[in-house]
Amino acid sequence: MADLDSEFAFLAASVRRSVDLLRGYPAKDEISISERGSALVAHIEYVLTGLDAKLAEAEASFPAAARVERQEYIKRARLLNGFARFMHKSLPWMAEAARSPLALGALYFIDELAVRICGAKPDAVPNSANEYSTEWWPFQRLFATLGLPDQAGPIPIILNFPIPEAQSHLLLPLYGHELGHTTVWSNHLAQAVIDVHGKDLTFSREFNAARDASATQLGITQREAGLNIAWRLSRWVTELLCDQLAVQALGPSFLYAFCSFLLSDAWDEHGERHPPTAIRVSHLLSYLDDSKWTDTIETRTPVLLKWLRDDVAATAPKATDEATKFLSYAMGQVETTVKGEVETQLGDGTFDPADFTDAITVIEDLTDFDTLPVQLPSGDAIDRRAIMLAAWFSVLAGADNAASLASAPSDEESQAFFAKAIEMSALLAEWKAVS
Amino acid sequence: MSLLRKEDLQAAMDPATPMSERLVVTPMLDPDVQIGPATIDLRLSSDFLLTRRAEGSGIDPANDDRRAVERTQERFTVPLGEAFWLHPRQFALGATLEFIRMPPHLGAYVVGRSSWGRIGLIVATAIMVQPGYHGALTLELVNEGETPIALYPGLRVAQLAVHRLTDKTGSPYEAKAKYVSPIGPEATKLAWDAQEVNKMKQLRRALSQL
Repeated sequence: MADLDSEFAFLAASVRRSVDLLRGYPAKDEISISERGSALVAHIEYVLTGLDAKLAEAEASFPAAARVERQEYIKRARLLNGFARFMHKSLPWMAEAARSPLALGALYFIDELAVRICGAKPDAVPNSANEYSTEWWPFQRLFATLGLPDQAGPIPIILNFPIPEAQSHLLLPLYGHELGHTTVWSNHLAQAVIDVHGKDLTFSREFNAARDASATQLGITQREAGLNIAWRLSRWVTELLCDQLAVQALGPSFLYAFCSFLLSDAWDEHGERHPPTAIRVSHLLSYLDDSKWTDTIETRTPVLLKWLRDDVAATAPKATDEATKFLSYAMGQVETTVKGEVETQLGDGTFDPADFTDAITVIEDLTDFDTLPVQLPSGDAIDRRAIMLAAWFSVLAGADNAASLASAPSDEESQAFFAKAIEMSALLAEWKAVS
Repeated sequence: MSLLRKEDLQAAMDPATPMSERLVVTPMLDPDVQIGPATIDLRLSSDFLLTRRAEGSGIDPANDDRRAVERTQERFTVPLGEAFWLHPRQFALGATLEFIRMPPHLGAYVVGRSSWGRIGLIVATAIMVQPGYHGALTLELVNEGETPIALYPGLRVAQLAVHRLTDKTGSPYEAKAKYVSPIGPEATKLAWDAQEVNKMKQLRRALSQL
């Protein structure tokens, strides 16, 4: 007969050790000094409190429980162990919240972008990883099992970035897309877009036809096929919304960063979660055309713009299955709705080409003399988004071609210079706001 | 050469002055406080360089490895609101928060502020700022006092005394210079002088053959 007492005691001690490791992690204490990571720590503590309560409840009931119930408590203790170990993924996040490898200019840029895109100030924590990706309320999925209600307060957002790109400041606009995921989720934007088109008879008819054909093609039920297409439609629309949030908030620097980083993958491939890059570039260019950015880009990088328009965006994606054919059709249908939803979401947070035109004269007046572009003649800070776009134009000046777009983030000296300008400009803006 | 007074400094920094002639000190967070009767107060930046003693054997100007010193130095950032503690007899490199651009007709000296000097803080030993220089100024921070000093980024620790040259120099500090557009503290580039040590060695050999 198994010694259930020992097994339960072992598991309970193991949960406590995992919880103590999290609670006693030195970086956690450093975070209380600064603001970055404080919502993350509150989120972790909230879940740990739930874990504590569940464990205490099991420990109180276990001694008097019948054998069958005891086995259930042991299962529960194993589950709590799994939760506690899962939460250890937050250890590197806390370490980087306390001591980020990113330059201050990069952190300030991300913080400002987070407020612009997410509305209320979230707790954005960049984290060294192997790709650009994101998660928010990272332990929310444990709430239901632990019996915890949803948490209020600033949203902790983990922004993963590839370690080799830590100093690639020209790629900072990519965080705009990643931050967009939290906004799309918290405001149900993808569903709002799909709901608009769900009322369109032609759109619904196309969906139903794709569902039926896909069911036949894959040998699955119509319901399964419909759920699969709906799930992918939601993911693809989410990606378009995130792209749109970034490009409307930042202007052409998002186009450059996006293409510099993503075009190394095939741009006509259909992903489960992502529409083909060609479609995404086409939507970005369409927005920049509509919002009168094109003249600015065309003046500075005409060759690159032509390449993106004629060779990248115009590459017809080759959908072979019925579901993907529908999704490709749907991307064209939702384009205007996506733009509109994002405009409403950002309000006056979009970056206007007229604002850039005013700033670039000052920026270039200063950089022509190797001087940090921080301050306008009025004494006010130069818009950080204008500095970012000026950085792209500076690096691409005299190198208006596709290869230079890929190699631009290797220019360490220029990027460090413009990141310092962003840091100082953000500091000046906040100084004036506080004063 | 004459020391610029407040009115001259304001005129030299006026955005209406052409860039080729303009003195730039940016960002100027609080001009009313920072521009004094004959100096401009400069703030401490968040960037510091400290020597990793365990990783260097010493600094020899005859060693022409230009990265040797950099490899023994650790660059780190102190966020606003947090302190960098400088202990008695400790040496660290810091930088001005402000980026400076000197036009070709102006030179300057960076010196400490008296409030800090009175507790033993030295902020600069190589104090001359050449006409044509552009960049943050590296500060050689030493605590000559008896107690550790908390240095907070953003505080005014130094001041810039600007002088008008007798005339615009025809050879301003430019791209061939050692320190070009630095945006934070820069490690020494003494290795660039290794050739001079070699010349001295050649000279000694030549003299011994006389």
